[in-house]
Amino acid sequence: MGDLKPFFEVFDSDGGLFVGARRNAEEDTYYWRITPWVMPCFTMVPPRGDHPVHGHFWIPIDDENCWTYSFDYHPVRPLTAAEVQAMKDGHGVHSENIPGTFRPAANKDNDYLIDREAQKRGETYSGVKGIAMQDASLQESMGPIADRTKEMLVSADSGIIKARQKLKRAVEALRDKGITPPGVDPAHHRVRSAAVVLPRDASFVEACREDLAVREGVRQSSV
Amino acid sequence: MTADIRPILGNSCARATSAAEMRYRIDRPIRGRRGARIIGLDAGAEAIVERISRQPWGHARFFSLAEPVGDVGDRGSDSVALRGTDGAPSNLLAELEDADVVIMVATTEADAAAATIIGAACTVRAIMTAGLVIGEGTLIGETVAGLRPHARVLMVGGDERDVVDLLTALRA
Repeated sequence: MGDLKPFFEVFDSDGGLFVGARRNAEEDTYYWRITPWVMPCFTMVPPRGDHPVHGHFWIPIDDENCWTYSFDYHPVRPLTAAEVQAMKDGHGVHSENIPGTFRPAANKDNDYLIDREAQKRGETYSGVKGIAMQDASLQESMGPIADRTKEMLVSADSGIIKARQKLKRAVEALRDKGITPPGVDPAHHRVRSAAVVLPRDASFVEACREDLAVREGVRQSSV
Repeated sequence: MTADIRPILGNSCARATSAAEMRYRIDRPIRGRRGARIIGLDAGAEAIVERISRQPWGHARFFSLAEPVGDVGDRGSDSVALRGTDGAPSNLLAELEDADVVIMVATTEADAAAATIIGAACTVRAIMTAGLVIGEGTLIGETVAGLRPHARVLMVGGDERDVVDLLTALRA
């Protein structure tokens, strides 16, 4: 993880995409962190060690609002009490919520509790605490409906570009030919994230075909 | 914990909570990208790049390799001869002068040495790179492996529309 500039590879899958981020590992190998995206709105974070697997999905409420669900699970064992408590405390991909609500304690009304002093001390780049609220603050601050005609993506955004392309094509195929969109078939959701070390000439999709599929009773592929 | 609730002002962009409040966004068209270079690395890619170049683009310039590079050796970026889709000769060194992104397009039998030189030249100049490998998975494995070290992002196994969609998103 000392390699701070990952390279990305984007592959089509039956249900959406696999996005692989690779970093240099030992000589002649790459460390791959592979994220599945299943249409229209499901992602799973690559695992680390024996930690639970995390993920999110975004469910629209109306044109301007959505619920974000964040989950943890472990394929071969129940979560420990400490792991469950960590979720409630807002660690990892989770948010600490206002008691009795599903609203994050750090939210748009309080500037996500941005801590300028922590920024100055170099503790966080954004001043916002935690991965969950760092992501959420950027997503929400774009506003409820972002004007895509005024954005300029970069090549590193190819996963986003490809995801939008697939959504648009699925909508058109449904409208014009009645084709069921990817992601409706439950089989498309039987995917996993993975973190693996592979030879540099290996295709992660080919080498990790089993790792990226649900296998009953088999733990997640992780290093 | 009690959240510190403050009134949300209609003209406070980052705090906009409805489409109506979004009307305060700056309503100006963005300036397009000025330095996209698209290079086909094999005969199949050359045909794709040539077709796509006929579409209306901003400042993007489209090329194929004028001759095979074949072997990296100690060759520099001035040794990679390019040919524009309009037939005009150029070379990599000249095209990188005002480039901000280089997109390598490949199918099968891509010139891996050219990809190596392009990738290295872009790295030292902090120019973004992307690679699109078009074709069936079983046929493009070698090309993907050849481009992998030299493209910051690789899109694998798609079709010609992927190139168009990428260039459109990049405002090329």
